[in-house]
Amino acid sequence: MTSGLSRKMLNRAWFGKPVYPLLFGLSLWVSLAAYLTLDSLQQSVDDYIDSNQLAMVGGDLIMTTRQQWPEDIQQKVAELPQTDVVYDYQFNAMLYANEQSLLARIKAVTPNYPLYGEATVASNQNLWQAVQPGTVAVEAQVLSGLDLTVGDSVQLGEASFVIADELTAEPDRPLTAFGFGARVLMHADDLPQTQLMGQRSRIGYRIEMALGPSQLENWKNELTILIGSQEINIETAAESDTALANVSANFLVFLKLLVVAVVVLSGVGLFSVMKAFIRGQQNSNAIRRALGEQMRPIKQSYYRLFILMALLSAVVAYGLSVLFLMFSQNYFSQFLPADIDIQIVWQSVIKITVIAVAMTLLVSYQGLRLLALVKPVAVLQQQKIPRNRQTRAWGWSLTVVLAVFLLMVIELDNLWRAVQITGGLIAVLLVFWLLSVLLLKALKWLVNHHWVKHWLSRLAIQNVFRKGNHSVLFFTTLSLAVMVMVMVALLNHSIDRQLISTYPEDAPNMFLLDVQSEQHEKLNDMIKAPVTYYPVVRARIKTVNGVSADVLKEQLGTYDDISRVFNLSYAEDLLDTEYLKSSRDNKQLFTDWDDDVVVPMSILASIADYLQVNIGDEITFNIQGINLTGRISSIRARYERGPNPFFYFIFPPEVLAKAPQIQFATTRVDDQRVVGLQTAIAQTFPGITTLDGAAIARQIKSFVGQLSQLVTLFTGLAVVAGFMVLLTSLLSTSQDRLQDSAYFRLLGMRTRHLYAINVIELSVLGLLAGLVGTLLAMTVSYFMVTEWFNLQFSLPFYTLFLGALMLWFVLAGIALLYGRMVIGRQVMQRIRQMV
Amino acid sequence: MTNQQSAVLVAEHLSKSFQIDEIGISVIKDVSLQVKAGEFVVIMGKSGSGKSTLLSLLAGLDYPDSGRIMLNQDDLTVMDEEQLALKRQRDMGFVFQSFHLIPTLTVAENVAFPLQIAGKPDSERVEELLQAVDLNHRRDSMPHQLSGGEKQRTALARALVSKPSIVFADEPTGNLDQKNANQVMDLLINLQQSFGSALVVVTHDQAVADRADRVITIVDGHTV
Ligand SMILES: Nc1ncnc2c1ncn2[C@@H]1O[C@H](COP(=O)(O)OP(=O)(O)OP(=O)(O)O)[C@@H](O)[C@H]1O
Ligand SMILES: [Mg+2]
Repeated sequence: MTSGLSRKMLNRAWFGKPVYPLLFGLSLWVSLAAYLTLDSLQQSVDDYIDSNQLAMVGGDLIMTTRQQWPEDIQQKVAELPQTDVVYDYQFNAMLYANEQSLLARIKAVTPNYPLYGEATVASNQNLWQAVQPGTVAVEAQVLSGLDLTVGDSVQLGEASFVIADELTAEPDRPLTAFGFGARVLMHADDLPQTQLMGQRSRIGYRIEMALGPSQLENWKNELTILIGSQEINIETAAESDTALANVSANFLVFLKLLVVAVVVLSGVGLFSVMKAFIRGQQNSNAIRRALGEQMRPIKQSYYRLFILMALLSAVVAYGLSVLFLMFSQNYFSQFLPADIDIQIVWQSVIKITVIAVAMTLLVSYQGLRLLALVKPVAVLQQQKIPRNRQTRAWGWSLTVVLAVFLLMVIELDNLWRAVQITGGLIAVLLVFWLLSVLLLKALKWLVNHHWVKHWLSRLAIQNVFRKGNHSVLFFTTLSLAVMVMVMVALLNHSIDRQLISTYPEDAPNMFLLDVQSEQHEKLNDMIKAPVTYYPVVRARIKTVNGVSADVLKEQLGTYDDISRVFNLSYAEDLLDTEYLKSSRDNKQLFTDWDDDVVVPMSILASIADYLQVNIGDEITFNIQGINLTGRISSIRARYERGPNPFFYFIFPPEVLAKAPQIQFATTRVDDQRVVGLQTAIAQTFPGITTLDGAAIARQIKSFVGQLSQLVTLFTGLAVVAGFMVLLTSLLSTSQDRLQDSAYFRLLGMRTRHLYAINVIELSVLGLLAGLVGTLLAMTVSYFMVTEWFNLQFSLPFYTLFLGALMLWFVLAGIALLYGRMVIGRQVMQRIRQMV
Repeated sequence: MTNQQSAVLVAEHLSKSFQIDEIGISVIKDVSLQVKAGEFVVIMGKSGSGKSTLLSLLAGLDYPDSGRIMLNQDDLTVMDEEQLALKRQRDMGFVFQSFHLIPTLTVAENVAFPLQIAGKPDSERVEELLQAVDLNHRRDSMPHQLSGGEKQRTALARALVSKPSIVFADEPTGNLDQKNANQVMDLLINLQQSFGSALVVVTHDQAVADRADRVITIVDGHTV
């Protein structure tokens, strides 16, 4: 049992100097609060998905396709009570009214929609009471975008509709960020009048069915048999992934991994604080031992204190998390549903409490090994108790790795991925660690070999290598965190500059979908700028060199998905934006193969790499049931990526001209003309959908912007954790630094020189780490920008400069503050003790 | 031997050496001695002669290289560190040159500490000791608020509070002026006599040695 006095003496020593509880707390608060916030967020999202899955998916069983439903399927579905089936058609189209036009996402449904959840309208009426045949409900955007009010008419395709109400919520579209175009909800029966259903590019056909659990499997099986090899997808609600589930599974888990790294770092911070404290208590501990106190109660008294601190920290973290969630809803608006209720979940609170306590126990265990070095005989010896020797602890390190691994398993819910990610994390850390060690070794060499001339700088840099400093660790953390943050900033900057802020000069800024050949002439007249038309034939890959795509799917990389629908095209010549990489014959796009069954074909280099094909290889496509085999006669590449369209597979015109096809067109017009042209085209050709490139770019920008904001925020926490490591290592080397300062002072060193030593030491260490992180980030993002995105790499000099300046301010600030605390207060006291 | 019966502490053939840079330095060389119940023994010798080292062996704060130390019939040299701690808790008291009070406990709490760790809190006994060393008025002071004499008086109270059979003191007056030194020494001897504890004091002070029952002198690691 710990006696009351043991507890008292320890509490007084701990809480007597605010620096211990404060640094201990700060180390934990940040990481725990971040963890709690994300965990709660994830839990809330998962709960939302659980309770809304049916509504989000739309039915118990869903079929989707890109073509009109076959008769037999429709007949089969008709066996269900009519109230249990919804036919749903979705596509983009232009709305036109008041001499204005707007891109809309049309959703036409049969009147039993929705089967689950509720679609609401502003008038609070029942949806189908409000929306009678011939009328539509529209999202608020439509009203504001076209200057309309409820009761006005709007033109859609060849038909005109009265806006009956404002649509306020759809159960199956909780996220608005993922779709382009404002919503228009209408009766499926009204669809034919619009004459938009013919050869259109992207109509999503969907059948949603409500089925009892007992029927579900039966129906699925029977429909699957009916579907056979047709291009129809069928899945149950449980099998269906929603956009929201993807957010939760990918982005939130990614942020979580960042936070796990922060948690690990905070463990290092804890360790330093404990070490400093236990070293400070060495004398008391020696007395306690000399007076005959057993080791167990001494250790218990420490454990008790630290666990108390861990619990307190969990409470503080809870408070911080509540505050954060109160003010941060906007951060998540782009990828969380508006009606989601984000709250701190008790499971998450338990989780962080367990993490806090477990981590504290682990760290304490190692820290308290220092107690074994306390010999009671020390009380009889005048000299100081010897420095702590570094204790090697493989078993303990292994336990820590296991603990992290366990956390990963819990977080990822997948053993193999946890192994990979833990392994990857350790590998990255090792690389950075090695790099840090090497660089610091080099620095040491420079100082020892008199490369650094100024005496003050030499003294300061030698301090970097002080025993017990966590210089390497701080360096590793800071450079890693800086690298991630700079990389995010650089990528953002390059993408922003070239795709969004300054939309490429000569790239098309208007896209026209569903153009027909006979409309070309009129369109050219209206646009008064060069228009490029692209025919598109949809097809799937059947075989590559005789090997079935199903077989290849398992073997090929992740660059693309061989089983998806590809867009084929035909042309006489190369596009302006492309060049021939290699050709069978004399820089020709196509050359005849002297073979009646195969036709020449040109392929884009990137997909050729993915499919592992070269000139002379054959690919067989399935175009709506008809097979077409092309033999590669040339390989093309693009000059640069951007908003210019491109095609993986191009055939000679005579091969595909008669295949079922759609056309789209691109053009470049003055920015001021875009909106007017859109309206004019919508009025003249209601079937054509026009997209405004700049507007799309803006929308992508706001989404990407929010993602990078969040990544930066959580990486910022890693920086904070890195600074905690720095602060705590300053604390744990305080006694030695104080001693040095006392000597220097005794020898007459001036105060500002004492300060300068600290400032130089931290600046050199921190700025060097920052530089390394920045250089690495530049290298990696240079390759990403130029190789992946095919964009020009550009540096945000101003941001980088600002970042460096901020880093230096923080470093110098810490150094000065620390100097004040150590030099200002205690140095004279120490000198008096010495003489 | 008959007087062996009344001996609290018997040390036989103790030797101890320290390893410094691979050179062994012999500090204690074949020392044997006895301390009887209630006896007051002084150990003297030049600086560096090994007095503190000998005391650390006798008090079970360190292990000898060879030899045996019997305290109340228990052999200290075969005990592990935890058993030694228990032994110190029950049978020994300590006074050090640099006081070694626990800085975060008050005077009264410092005195109560040995009883607490032994699981036998006894506030009356603490009162009694505080009275005896005349520190009742400072009972709630922290050690850093005390004068050297007051600190050492607190240490005396702490050393004797658990009625140890033997008290060890290493230059208890070394950090005090003459007046305080005399006062502390008087107190120590008084208390020791009234509680019947044996007392082993390492000192340079001839005046202290003059009051001892017996003086052991160490020269170069040997008793003479
Ligand atoms: N832990 C140790 N490691 C190495 N040498 C030691 C150690 N403790 C003591 N010594 C050496 O043993 C010798 C005796 O030391 P000890 O402290 O016992 O002397 P002392 O008689 O108490 O001296 P003083 O009167 O100055 O206190 C000294 O030379 C000392 O340097
Ligand atoms: Mg000594």
